[in-house]
Amino acid sequence: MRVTGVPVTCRGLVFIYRLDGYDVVALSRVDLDIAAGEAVALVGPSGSGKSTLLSLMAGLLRPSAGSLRVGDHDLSRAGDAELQRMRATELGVVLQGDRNLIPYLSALDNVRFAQRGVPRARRVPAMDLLETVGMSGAAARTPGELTPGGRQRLSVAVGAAVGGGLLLADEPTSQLDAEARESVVAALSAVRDRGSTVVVVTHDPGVAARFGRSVTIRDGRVGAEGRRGEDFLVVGTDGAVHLPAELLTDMPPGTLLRVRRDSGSGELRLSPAETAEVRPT
Amino acid sequence: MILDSGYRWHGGGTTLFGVILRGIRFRPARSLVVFLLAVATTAAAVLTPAYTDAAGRSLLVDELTSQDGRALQLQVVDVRDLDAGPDDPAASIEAVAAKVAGAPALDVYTDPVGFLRSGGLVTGGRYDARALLAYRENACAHLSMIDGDCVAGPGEVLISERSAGEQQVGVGDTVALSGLQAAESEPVPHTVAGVYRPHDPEDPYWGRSGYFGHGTDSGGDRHLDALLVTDPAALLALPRGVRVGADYRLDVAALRSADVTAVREALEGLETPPDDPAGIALAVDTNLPGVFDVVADGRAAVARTVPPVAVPLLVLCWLVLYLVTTRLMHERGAEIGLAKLRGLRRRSVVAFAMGEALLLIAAGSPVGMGLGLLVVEVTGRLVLAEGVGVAVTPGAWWFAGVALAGSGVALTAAAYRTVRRPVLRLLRRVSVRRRVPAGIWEAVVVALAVAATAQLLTGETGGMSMLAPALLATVAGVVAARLLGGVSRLRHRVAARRGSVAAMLATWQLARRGEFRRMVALLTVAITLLTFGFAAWDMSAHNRRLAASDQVGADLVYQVDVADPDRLMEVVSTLDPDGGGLMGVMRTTERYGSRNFTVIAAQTDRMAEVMRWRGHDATTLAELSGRLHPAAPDPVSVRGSIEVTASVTVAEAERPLQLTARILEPGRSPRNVLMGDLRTGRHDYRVSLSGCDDGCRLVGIGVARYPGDFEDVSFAVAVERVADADGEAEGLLTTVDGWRSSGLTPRNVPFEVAADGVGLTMSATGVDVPDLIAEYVTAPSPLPAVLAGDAPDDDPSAARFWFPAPHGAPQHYATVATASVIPRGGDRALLVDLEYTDRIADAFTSLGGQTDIGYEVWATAEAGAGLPARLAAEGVTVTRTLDRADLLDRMSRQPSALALRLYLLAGGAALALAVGAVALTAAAGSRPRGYDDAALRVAGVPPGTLRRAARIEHVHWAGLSIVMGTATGLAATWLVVPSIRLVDGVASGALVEYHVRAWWVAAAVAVAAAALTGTAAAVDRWRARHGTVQRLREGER
Repeated sequence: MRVTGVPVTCRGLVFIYRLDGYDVVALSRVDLDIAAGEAVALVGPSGSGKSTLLSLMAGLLRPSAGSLRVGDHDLSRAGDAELQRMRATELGVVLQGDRNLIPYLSALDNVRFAQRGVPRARRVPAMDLLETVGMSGAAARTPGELTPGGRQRLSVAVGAAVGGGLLLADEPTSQLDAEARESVVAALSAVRDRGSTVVVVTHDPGVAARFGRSVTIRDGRVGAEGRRGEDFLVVGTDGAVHLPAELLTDMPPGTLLRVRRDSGSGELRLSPAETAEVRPT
Repeated sequence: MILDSGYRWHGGGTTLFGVILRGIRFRPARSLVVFLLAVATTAAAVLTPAYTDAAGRSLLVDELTSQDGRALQLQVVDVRDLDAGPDDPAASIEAVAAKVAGAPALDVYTDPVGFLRSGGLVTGGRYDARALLAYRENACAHLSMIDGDCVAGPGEVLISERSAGEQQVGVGDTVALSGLQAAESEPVPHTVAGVYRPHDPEDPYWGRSGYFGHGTDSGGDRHLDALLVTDPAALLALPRGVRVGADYRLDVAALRSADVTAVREALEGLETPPDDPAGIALAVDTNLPGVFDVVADGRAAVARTVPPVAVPLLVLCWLVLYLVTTRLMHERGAEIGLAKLRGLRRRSVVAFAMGEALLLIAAGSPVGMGLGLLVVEVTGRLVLAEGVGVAVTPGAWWFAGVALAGSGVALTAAAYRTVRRPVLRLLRRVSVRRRVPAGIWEAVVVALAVAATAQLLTGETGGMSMLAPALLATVAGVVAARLLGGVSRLRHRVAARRGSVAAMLATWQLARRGEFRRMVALLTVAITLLTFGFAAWDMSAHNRRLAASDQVGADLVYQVDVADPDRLMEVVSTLDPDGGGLMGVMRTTERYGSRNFTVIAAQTDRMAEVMRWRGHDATTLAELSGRLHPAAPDPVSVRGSIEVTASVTVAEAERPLQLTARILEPGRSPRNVLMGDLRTGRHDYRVSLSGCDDGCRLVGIGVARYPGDFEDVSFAVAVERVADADGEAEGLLTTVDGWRSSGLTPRNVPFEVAADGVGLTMSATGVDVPDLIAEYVTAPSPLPAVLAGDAPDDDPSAARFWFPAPHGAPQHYATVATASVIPRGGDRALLVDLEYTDRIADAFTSLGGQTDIGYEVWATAEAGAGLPARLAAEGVTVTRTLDRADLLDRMSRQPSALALRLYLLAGGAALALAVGAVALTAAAGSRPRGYDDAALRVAGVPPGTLRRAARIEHVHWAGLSIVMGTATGLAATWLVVPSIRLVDGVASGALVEYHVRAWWVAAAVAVAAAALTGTAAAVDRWRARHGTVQRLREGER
């Protein structure tokens, strides 16, 4: 059964964690468009804000500023009931670690449990989903009886259980061996093949490379994008550009750059200014 | 889909119910705890109405069975004042019986016996006496005929054996009867047709009319046993005052608690006024309404006392249930977060979150109800009146519903915060700070406790005051929890200075972990309730024993029908010649002021072995016996005749004075025997004594005036010798002060009596001088007595006072000891020696036949066994038996004991609950604590140090709980117990002893310590299981 993918659009998305006595800006003016049916990997260093972005897309956190649209839903304005309906019918979430499954339910019942919020008529047969992720043979097993890879694939099936057009997965391949990782990626691909938009947070460049598009989040911003194996810088709405991390060793923060544009090819050249040039007189 | 359907069929599917069931199975220990708590909560709730109901029925049964059977009988009498006897007596009886039969609620009354009776004056015998003339249906079946046949028609009567003997009449003799209500009626002669002896005068057959009242009443009127007839027409000879009625026996077993109101109303409805148009005026005579009143009071007392115990227990159950389900919700936070993450609707999330616990609570409720009823059933079998079991009343259902609703509220409160928590917080298990600081709740509890205690101290026993123990327990729990933190931090600093790793680890954990504070608070509450329950029960049991001794006075007391004290002492001496097991007692009661004052005359030389008296043991009783029975000469007996040699120096009177001897013939009243005119000079005076062939007691010697002489008299007589047919009475005149003026002598008469060891001199001068007797002293005067209460004198503290003796005349008493209470006498009573009392009375009158004197044989348990048969062999009938053990047994089922027993149960239940909650908390915390232990071991802390740290933890939380709980329990006891009734019928005050015996407190502490030690051992095992290095690899969760 094919589903219709759900697009995601972020414009100037800001999220601030308000802690006791101080605030932490987790996302700062993020602009991102994910097309329906697209498979996107969010990559970046720890603490860069990619999991926060995923939580915002899932409606688990409210944007502090900016706008975030998931399909027809403006998540910066949606109420609890709308978010509940959205999670019940349009998006699925695969959390990091072992928290996706109810330990005392079989694989099949875990999928069915995740479908309880979906109107009966729209429910995808649970066995089909297990089949999609290659778990049909383990339908009667509880999570504790599955391998770590099996549990993650089951988590993917549970995440996709609502039959919605968006699947959000947070580090679905962490702590898995290569074979298991492959199987999980295959499961995610299978979900994408059914028509869903798939957004995956991952540390693993290898996993990210398996998706058509990768978005690098650095310091709460979209720093770069990869398309078909090639990385691109992204110019933000404020004109800011994040340099790749490897350039920062030669051009540490505070370095003055001279920007030159080749009028013929249109290439931009960044060259650090000599120290004497900028020394104050 | 095939697999889908098949799996659904076999595996229970994914209905919410199926998920809930799997969750319950996944957490068997937690599920079991919630289930058991639900069971305990409902059981505690059901206990209140079920126990109250059973206790009420037990009170009814006890009250009914403790009553004299006659008191419970119903007598219905037509009280119309007829001008003539009924035309058709049988029809009249039928008419009365039909009235009773018309009231269905009175089915509990059975075996009707119709009767006709009339009070009459009997003349023609030795003396005039009152008697009932009565016809009773089938009377002959209950009589043994001593002489004649059991047939008495008009003009004939049957007379009892003892009345016939007293009146000296027999079959064929004639007595005359006149109606008491028709003074002008002419005496009607009746022939004695037979002499009967009732098979059993106490047989319920004889009803409530008192047919066998032979004796003299307090007004001095003589009574005969009933004169019976076998033909109702015989009563028509007495034209007025004939009453028609019927006696009924109460079938105690058929009287159910639920029928009480109907029976009471039916009895009230039975009464009809004299002008009733139905033409019959019924009067109802039964003590049953009074019994109902007593039972109603008892029920009310239980109903008042039980809820203050049951409510805290119930609240404690709810509190523990709340804590346990809060813990359960916390553990299930991730699951509930998943439900919300998957977009389940709010009601589905709530159902998923609460379903497990709710299902367990719902399943536990009927089991709890069954358990509560079972506890009451078992309690009923063990401690309530025989045959009283549990009954499922509407109240039980209602309270079970309340328990279920309360449990639901506790669960809702526990689930509320979890269900409302955002998904991410649920999934991350982030602790949430309390919105309302705990201090506010603690302040509320303290305020309530202060209010309740203040109410209690100001004497109020209603309202919140009865909740004082529970509130004080809660405050103690709060204080103990606060103390634990402070003490632990203090000890941590000390341990750090000393470098004691084990103590540092333990005190740090104690100070930082909230679970320890909750554990200590719960345990302190439970141990407080337990200590209070133990202490209050012990006090109650102790005071019941005292009250039983006060009321019975010995292990067994038999009320007996004997002629006089002499006969009583004779029988006791025959049956117990060594004096080790039986004691004769005579009881009389006089009115003094507005209250009764009882005189107990006992064979004091036997009381050390027999008597059970609060504050007295065998040694003190023996010592007291010596003071009550100082040495005195034995009475002197004269046989056949009496001869006195006397020198008279003065004998002046208008008519001759006479020397007289006061003689007591056995079984009769004393009489003065005239020995001849008093003549000046030395002369012998002699007279024969009729009826004294076997000896009569010489009570005294004196001077009698000529009847009708009211002029001045003067005499002086010196008695030098007294002899009888056997010769001179030795020792009679040689005892110094062996003679004194008789108690018959008016106090204003100057009668001088002196005994100097050689002879007796008597002299008197005056106008108002009656016959004067010098009495041979055979009893001390004043008579030594133990006094309970104020002296019956104008001066309540008087050590010597005059008070009516059993023989009716004033008696001079001297208080040799005081007591708070005298057994069978109460707190306004005198205890004196029976033998001396009898000797003193003999000088005045015979005590035989006085109806206001009761005779009893007090016995030890060993000597009392089979005593009624041995008494019967001596011709003595036992009319009533008082058994101290039985009384104690009944007292243990009185309202106060029934309520206090629940205090004890509640304390035990509270401890069990608290220990269960502590074990659960410890089990839940064993994984993270085990993880900590594993980390510490890796860091180089030796296992021995960890074990020592665990022990220090246990000592702190268990020790603090026990100390605080015990101290608060004793404080609550001290505060509350004086305000509650420990023993029914004994008001709080001087007769109640408020001593807590140390071993009962030790028992409470031991029970608590054993429970806590077991819990601590279990905690150690759980922690050790999780405290392996392997855990570090697996992670904390």
